[in-house]
Amino acid sequence: MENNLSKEILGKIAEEGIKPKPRWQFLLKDYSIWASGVLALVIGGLAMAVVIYLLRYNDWSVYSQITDSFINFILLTMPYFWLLFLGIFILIVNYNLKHTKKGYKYPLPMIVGATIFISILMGGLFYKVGLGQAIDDILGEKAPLYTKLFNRQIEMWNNPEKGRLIGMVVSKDTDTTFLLLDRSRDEWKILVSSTRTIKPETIEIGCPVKVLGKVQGEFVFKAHEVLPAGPGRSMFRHLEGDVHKRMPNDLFEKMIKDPEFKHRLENMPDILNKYPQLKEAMENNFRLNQGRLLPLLEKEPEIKEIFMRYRASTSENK
Amino acid sequence: MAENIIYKDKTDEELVRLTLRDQEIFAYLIERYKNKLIRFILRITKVDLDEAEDILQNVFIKVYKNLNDFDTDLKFSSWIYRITRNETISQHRKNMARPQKYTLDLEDNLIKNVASEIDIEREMDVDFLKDHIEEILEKLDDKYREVLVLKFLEEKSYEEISDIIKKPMGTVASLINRAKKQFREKLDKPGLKI
Repeated sequence: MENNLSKEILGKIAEEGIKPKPRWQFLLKDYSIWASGVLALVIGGLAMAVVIYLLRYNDWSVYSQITDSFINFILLTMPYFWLLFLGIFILIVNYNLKHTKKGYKYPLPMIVGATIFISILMGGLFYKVGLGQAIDDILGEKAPLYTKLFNRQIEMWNNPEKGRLIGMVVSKDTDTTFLLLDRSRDEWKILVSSTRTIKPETIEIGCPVKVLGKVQGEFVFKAHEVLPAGPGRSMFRHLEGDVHKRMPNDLFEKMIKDPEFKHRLENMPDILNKYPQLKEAMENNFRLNQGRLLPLLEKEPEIKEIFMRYRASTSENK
Repeated sequence: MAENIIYKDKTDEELVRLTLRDQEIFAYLIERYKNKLIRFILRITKVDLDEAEDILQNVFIKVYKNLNDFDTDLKFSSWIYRITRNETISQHRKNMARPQKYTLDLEDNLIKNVASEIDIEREMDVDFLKDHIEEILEKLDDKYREVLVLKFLEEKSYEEISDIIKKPMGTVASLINRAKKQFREKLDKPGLKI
């Protein structure tokens, strides 16, 4: 061995045409590990933003009316899916960090601690810019298993026998009586207890709300607390159509023929540009009702012309 | 001859750079490390010399293939010891069914080094240790044997051991402490053949 090993090895290298692997292959591997680690960290941060959002609006103020103890309330309302999701991504980040070139130098508790700390920091930041709510809204509207997986609180609130009801306000008779459409499209008459002071902006037509109280008759619910729906509210977006269907056709017709309406419509673009939220609400209304509005507009060419001009100007702005 | 002298003065890192341009220079790295590594292989596993040589050949081929992955923040010796350790472990797993007898052939100063680190002071015990160190090392758990070999026989620092076995320095320190404890337990065991 003493004399021949070098020759033997160099001979084998030459004979088999062995060459050092190019540097880019190693760099690509390193960058892939880092990139997937950063991606996992961002996804973990997003999960954390949703966790913060769900916990922030977790009805802490009325927990005693929902369960008999605070611990039970926590166990019942913890966002388990998101915590598990966050845990998985923290593990992926740790795995990736451990497999970087210098990852082995750091003890596991330090890496886990740093990953959790960064996830909380990123989660807080993402929550602050509204990503927690945005993710919950998108999933609430689109995800098929939303109430089973992502936000089990909706199921918890959808239980009139136990004094909890969730749904969308579809009409409002007085400040103490309104109609609520639940997830199964059953219409409930809600009678708000006169001893309670509910913020009037909570009970707005088209707004999802949570109601605490008890069943008083067939689809009649006596409420002693009405709260804004919070997480999962976009689940009720599909009920918006039901709200607008309640507006009769002749009301549209009257509105369009009203000279006051024409005058207002002429000034509308300026007003809407000044108030973007109002503009968004109007556009949503148009989107939901265009099937009924457009034929009516055909009969009023003058209004139609102003209306289309306005539509064109908003499309250009987009 | 003159060329030989020039390359012998080069650092490992310089030789790596030069090898990437001229593969013949790899021979200097082989010459520099072959004896150290064959001894290391024999110390951490139960293979005979022929098998150790086969492992060593694979090690050098792997080193050559991965030269571009060598990180200069690391000592080259730590990097090549790491590759050797990994290759030895993977070969050892393949050959678990046929243990071999090996001889460590340790120098006196290394024995004294081990004796002092394990807190064995009496002359009789040092002599006993000299005769039985192989037997005791063989009885240790693999993870303890390798850190003791690296620390006391290969005389590596904690940082180098950390780089070789890819564990944090704190873990290396506690592994060495536990290894020393197990070593003393095996040394004190009456069942040990004297």
